[in-house]
Amino acid sequence: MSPSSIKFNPEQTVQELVELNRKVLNGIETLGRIREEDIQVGVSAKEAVYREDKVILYHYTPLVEQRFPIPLLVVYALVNRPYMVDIQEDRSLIRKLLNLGIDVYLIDWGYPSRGDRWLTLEDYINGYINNCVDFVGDRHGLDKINVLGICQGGTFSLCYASLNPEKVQKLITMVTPVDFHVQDGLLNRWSGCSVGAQSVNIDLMVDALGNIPGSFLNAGYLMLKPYLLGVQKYLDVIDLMDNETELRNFLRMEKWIFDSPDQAGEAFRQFMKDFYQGNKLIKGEVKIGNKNVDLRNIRMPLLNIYAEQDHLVPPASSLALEKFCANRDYTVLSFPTGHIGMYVSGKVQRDLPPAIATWLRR
Amino acid sequence: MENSKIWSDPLENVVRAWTDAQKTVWEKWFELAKEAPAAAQPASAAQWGKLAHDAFETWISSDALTAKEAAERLIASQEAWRRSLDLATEAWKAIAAKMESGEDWQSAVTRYIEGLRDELIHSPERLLHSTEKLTELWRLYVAEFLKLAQPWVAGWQKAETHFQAAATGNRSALVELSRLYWDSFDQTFGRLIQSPGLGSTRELNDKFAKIFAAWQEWREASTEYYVIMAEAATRVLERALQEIGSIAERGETIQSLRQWAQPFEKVADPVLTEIFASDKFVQAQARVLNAAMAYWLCRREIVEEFLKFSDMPTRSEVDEIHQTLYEQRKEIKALKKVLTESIAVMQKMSSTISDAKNQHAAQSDIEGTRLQENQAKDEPFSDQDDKIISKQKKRQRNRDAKR
Repeated sequence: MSPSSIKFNPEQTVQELVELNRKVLNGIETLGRIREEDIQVGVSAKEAVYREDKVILYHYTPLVEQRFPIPLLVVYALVNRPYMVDIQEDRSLIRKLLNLGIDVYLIDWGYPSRGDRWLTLEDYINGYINNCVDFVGDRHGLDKINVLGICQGGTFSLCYASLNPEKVQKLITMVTPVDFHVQDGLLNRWSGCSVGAQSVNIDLMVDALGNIPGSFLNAGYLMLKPYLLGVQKYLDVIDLMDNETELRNFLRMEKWIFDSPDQAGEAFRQFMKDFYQGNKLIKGEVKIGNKNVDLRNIRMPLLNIYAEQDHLVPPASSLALEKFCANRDYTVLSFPTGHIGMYVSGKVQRDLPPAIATWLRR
Repeated sequence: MENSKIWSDPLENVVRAWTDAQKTVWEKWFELAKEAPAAAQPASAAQWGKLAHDAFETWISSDALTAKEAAERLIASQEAWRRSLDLATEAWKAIAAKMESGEDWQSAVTRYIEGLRDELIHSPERLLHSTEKLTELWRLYVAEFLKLAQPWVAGWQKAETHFQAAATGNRSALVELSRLYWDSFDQTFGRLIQSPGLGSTRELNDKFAKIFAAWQEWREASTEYYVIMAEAATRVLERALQEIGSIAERGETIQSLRQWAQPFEKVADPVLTEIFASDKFVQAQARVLNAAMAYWLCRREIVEEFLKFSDMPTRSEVDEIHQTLYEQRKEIKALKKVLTESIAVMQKMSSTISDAKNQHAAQSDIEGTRLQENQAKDEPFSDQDDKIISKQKKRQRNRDAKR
């Protein structure tokens, strides 16, 4: 290489900068028009049908006359807000399912405060999820309903279905971690799957902080791809600045990414120690209340959906489910995208809802 | 979201290391661009930078909260552009000069990286070693602790002279020396805190010794973590420069800022991911987090002593109240559930009994009606009717006999 390999063309460079300036100036004008109400999220009409503590169960207003008789309950993760599945009209898994005649309910966990520091996984799984399932079942006069668990919510759904197989007709898990010791997952490694006792001391963390701040966890997630999520993304936004629609989409995503509820201390303690550090789910050693979670109890039809480029939940972690649940009616479905792409990518938006609806109607 | 602010205090070193690593790499990268030949861009770049900065400032003043927050994050990253294009760098000059004097590009890059590594990585270590002396550590510690307990610790700063006398500079003996220090402190300034409300002074002194040790561990862990992050940043830069070298070897040229950024974009996350996945990094990260949490807990113990002294509720007491409320709430829920189920069972039983009664009453009515009809018609009783009447007469006789 010689220094002359770097030949910034003066004209081209100036043109680049002029173009950047133009975009930024246009962007200012666009931004001036955007108000908070223009970047609202969670767009589909819904009604709160059940409340318990800070948890709210929503029922989405059906969009078609002919509905599939068994409703679908969506169980989202605790670590982010569930409106991601309904972030905007043209990027809404919920809306598309409603259009396909699926009757959809969703659990919103709310924002735990310091008073919720003692909530355990038993409260979440045997308490809130169970009560929501019972409520939906009673409302429809059914003993069993369908459940869709997403990410950590998928792990919770697996625990629930294992403990209450008589209440779940069909189970769908989406980008769900199952084997927490898959080595190619940075989150798994940071939690200590490779260094054992020298890993982060969860007891100390919960004792010190009580609830685990969402912004702290979020900083960790951003560190998984620091350049892309911390620098590149914001450089790329310049290209969007003269496109109001794209800019609004960007802002909605920003809103979601940084809207991270704190985690109830005791639930976090158990989830990290038993699932991430102990990998007890696949060993059948997770205890919820006084019962062991045995994945072999999951005999209802099971659809496992994962993202092929997921950096948060490695595909191998989700795919482990097949081995441990020993379910004969097991279907696996994947998409060539990342964890977040599962909610917003065009291909997923087009293909995932009909795949779910078809599988449920089978 | 109430915790969101407070955690950043003990963990700020971690976060600072993360942020610094990003900024450092990004800035260095564009510093290199600055000195590229045909540098017609600096004036325009600076101009653009200022314009972009002003634009984002305008955005920040927007009413929309999400837009405002996004803009703040955007500025933090754009700032790296602006600053890097504003500041002249010696790096590219140095590399270019070496190459022009006949040195091959690989060794020029290696030398540059070594210099950077020395600047980034060895500096914090030097800092750590330079402050090994207990007196220095104590001064730093008090400065840190002052933020927390401003009203109470003013007097402690005077303790430095006593501490200096006890200190030997031996880091491993810190805890023991701290105890020695507090013994002497007890004889001098200890009276200040020998109020009955503060309980055993010895106990409190132990807490001070403990928090000092925790603080020192946290500081060392943060330094170790910073070093690893700086090494990671340096490695990204090294790999990106090698990427440029490969471009040149292919006979291609870099003609625009976007092209200049591409090699960096290509290597940054893969290199960082590789480092972040290493056991060395995981252990360093765990150490700094654990140290921060231990320090946090020690701090709480002392703060709680003061709170008790001031008749104020402590975090532990509030947690205890929350725990009691949680347990009672859970108990009430369980009782409500049992009650609801019991009511349902009782309602079911009551409904069954009521149905049986109604059925029985209906049957009696039918029989009574038939009896009356038969009497009215003065028809001879059937055999069945005879039996009923004789039963009724029998019951009447029994009742009379009882009376």
